[in-house]
Amino acid sequence: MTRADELLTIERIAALRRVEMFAGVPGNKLVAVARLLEEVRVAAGETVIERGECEDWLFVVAEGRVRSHIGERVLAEGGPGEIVGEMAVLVPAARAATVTAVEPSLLLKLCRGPFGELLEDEPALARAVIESLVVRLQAQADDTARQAGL
Amino acid sequence: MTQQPPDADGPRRRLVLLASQAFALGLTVSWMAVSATSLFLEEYGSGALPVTYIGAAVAGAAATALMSRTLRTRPLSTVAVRTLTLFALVLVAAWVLLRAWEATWVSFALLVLFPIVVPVGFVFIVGQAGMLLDVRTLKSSYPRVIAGFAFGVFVGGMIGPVLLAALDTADLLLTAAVAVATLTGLVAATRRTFPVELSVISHEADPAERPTLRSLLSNRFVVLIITFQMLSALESQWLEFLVNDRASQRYTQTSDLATFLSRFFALAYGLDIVFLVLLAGLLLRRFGLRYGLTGNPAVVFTLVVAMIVATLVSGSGATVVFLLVVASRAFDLTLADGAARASLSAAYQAVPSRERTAAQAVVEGLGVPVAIGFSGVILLVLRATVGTRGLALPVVTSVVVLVWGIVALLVFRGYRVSLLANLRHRVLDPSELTLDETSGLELIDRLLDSDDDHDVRLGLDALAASEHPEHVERLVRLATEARPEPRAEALERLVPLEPATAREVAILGLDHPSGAVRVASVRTLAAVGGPADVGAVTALTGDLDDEVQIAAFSALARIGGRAAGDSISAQIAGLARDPEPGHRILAARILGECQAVAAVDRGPLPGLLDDADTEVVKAALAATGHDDVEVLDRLIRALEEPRTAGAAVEALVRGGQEAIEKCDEGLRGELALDPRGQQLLTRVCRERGDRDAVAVLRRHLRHPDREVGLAVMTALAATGDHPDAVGGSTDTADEPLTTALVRTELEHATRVLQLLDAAPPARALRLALRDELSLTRRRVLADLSLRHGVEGVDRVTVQLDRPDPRLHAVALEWLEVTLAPGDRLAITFLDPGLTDEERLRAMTRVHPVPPLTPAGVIADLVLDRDGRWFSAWLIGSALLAASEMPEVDLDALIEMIGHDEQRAGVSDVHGLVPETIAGIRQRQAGAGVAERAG
Repeated sequence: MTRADELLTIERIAALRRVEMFAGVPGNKLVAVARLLEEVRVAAGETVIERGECEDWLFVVAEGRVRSHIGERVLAEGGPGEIVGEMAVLVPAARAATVTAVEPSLLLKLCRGPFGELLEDEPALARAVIESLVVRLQAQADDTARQAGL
Repeated sequence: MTQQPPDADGPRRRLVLLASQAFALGLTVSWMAVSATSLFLEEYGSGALPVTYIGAAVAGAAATALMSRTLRTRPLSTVAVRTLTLFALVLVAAWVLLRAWEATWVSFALLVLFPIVVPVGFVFIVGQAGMLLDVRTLKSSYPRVIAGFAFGVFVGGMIGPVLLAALDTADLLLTAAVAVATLTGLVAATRRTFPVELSVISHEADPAERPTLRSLLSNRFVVLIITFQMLSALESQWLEFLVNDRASQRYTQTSDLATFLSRFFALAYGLDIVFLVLLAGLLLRRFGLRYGLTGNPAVVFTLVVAMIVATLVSGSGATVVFLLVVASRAFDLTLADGAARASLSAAYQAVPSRERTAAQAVVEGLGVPVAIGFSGVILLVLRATVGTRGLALPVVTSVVVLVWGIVALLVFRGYRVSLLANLRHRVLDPSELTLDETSGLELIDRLLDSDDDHDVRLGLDALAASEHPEHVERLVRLATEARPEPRAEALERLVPLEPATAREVAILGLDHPSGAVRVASVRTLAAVGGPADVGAVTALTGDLDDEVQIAAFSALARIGGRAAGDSISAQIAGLARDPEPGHRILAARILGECQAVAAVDRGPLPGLLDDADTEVVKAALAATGHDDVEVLDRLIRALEEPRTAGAAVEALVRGGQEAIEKCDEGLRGELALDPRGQQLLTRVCRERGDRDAVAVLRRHLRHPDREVGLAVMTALAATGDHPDAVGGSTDTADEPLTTALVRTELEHATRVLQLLDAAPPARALRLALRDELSLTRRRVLADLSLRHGVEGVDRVTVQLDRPDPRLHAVALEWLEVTLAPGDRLAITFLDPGLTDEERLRAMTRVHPVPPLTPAGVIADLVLDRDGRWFSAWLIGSALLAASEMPEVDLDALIEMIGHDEQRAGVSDVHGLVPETIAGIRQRQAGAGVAERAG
């Protein structure tokens, strides 16, 4: 049973669909992933990700606003639907920037471990993720070919 | 990042520029033809016209050869500007020669040039159109471009008599030169406006890349297109000759003849414009390519036959005959512009792009000039024998037009097939390799000696496919050499060809250091060995390599008799009870290898299938065979575990009739399998593909779960089954099953689009509706696969999914020529270029739906009175959206769902709907508490 202030699975699915990796995955195939999400509430000014840390999770901004920056230099700022560290759930890597909440925010955290297990159990989900990555690769290849004038 | 669509800045601008070019070309043609023809006929008479045709053939071939060579290194627009500038200068020079020195021989030269001007002009205009427009825009807008040409000739023809009243006939050449200069300016302006598209060089610089004439002529479709255009040029030339010949008989003064020709052009092209504006697009859309290609020959044939009858009745000089001659040529021009040319442009899109350009070059550079020259030769022969003024020429023309019509039909038939081939990428088939005695064998030996096992396999495949006499000798050589993989491969292939030799070679390999060779050797003895080999094989049952052990047990079971069977059974039972999973896997694998041996007891199999270790279960599933009926329920349960599902599918595929009956039960919902498990059952049926499996799939085409239903359709289509062929059940009498399925899906799609249009702006709900739309799209494509085959529809799907409007156009074109009229609404639904609003507007015209409010959308989804929304994701999203809508009585909706247990349970394996309802209730309670506290 969910708490009254927690997001429903359906709302989490809607949030996940903002993530490029899941954008093309039908909602009914994302139920299990949505239930893996951990809700993290952060206060304004709280650091969500520290630059240089090697981590293996992503955050989806469900409510509020976060800013990514290196020192004082602001790289980007985004609200609901913004994704932080999308690829880390597939291949962990050192964080390239620090991310800080600009206002009180609700973030959805997806960790690599349980997500990996889910991919093993749900071939349809694994296939959808592979397809979305391939689409991204194809687009990049097309882009490169066009830039090269091919 | 997506490619910029070719019509991103609107096809209108492109069309205006192309139509303006065509207009200027029309003016040129009109004034040049009137002037040159009148002067020529006055000086030399119509009897000399055939000679100009032969001259035109030679000059045309030379000019286009020069042009196509230039096109290989320079963009088409550059070549066009240079050629047209040169042409304007030629016209000015001709005018100077005529006015200053009365050099009437210039008219001969101009008439030689005249038949080249129109095709070359159109090569420039159509070539640019091909670069600026996609195939569908080309097809729908081509008549407008051609209308520019017709309008130009019409205006030229109308102005002609006025100009002739003030100027000399020769002066029209100067006005023609001005028109060419305008055309040149327009081509240059188009190039400046669309520099990226028009800077493409169509022909590759490397001659090796270009298809040869021979390879081009080996493509039947290309040959048909070339023949079509040659026959068209031939009959047009004769009709034009008939007009000029009969007109020169009736009008003996140059000015009268020039005035007639001007009026003839005005009449013919006036008719052309009316046709192009009012009818051409409509007829092409309504009747498609079949009409576009055959309409011209059919009408011309009718008129020529009428001309023959009129000549027989009234004589060749009769006015009615003259009128029929004029009408034939006028309709020929009109239909060539309004139907044949547009259809041919579309037909060329079915030719692979590399061959397309070459084919067009062959037509313009060789085909049309040869046809024009041939028309001149025939006219000369006719004039020398039976004369050209009687019945002979109309009769010969009617025969040619008849053949032209037949070729048109063949082009239409070939279009769909070639379009599909153009969508497909071909792969190398080893059986297409041909080997000669010496060089071929050298190549094979290099492959066989390669360090890459793939090369060795390819070499052996090629030897087998060509049934080469050295095949066995090479196999024996490989089967006795040191390299393990080629040795094992060769030994396996040697067994069916030379069993005795294979046995000898196998015995040599039993103590080979490589496990792969020992396995191949033992397997060979299992196939061709006997009791004499039992000792050697038994020794290998204790081999350290599991693969060798398994192969040895299998061989022993086959050649060792009853006693060996009992011994193997005992060993399997022992291994199956072993706490070490590896040993249990070994037991399962030996059981699998001994499937067909009755002496081996299969008792341990059920226990292995129930094993807690997934790998043991997978090995046990792989060990099941056709006769293991008693474990079928276990196979079905294994479908529910993702790690064993694949092996379970394979096991069921190997199962007997009982396995297929289980699939039927499962798809009926009698085995309590979730939707994913049911989808796997469709895979079993697809892989079986026999009559019984197909029958099961057919029974579940209307499965209530739309995703399972999609899997059923996809599986059935993959089996190559055509449900209509054997009379599938339909909702409507006499309606083929696949038509009924497509209609139902399109009706459903209209409903989803309507809900999307009227739904409240709740993100989850809109996402769920988009998912439903996407599922419907896949179902429509699967339905179409059932009727039109998987290959074509799969290619279409791939092309439609790519972010390139040109690929979309080719795919949609294939659908348009393939789908029956009743299915064509699917094109509207699938067209990625349309917005949802445009789709909805078009689809509601066929499937009307009553208007809906946002609250109506919620009620429709949640209450689901038609029983169409079997998606928990969709219903849950609707409930969540409803919780934010004060106008919706949520409690009443939830109450009604609670009473409909059957629907609430379908496809909600995750319990999404109850969870959503509980969450909404909690929030409502929380809000109530906060309100009271406030």
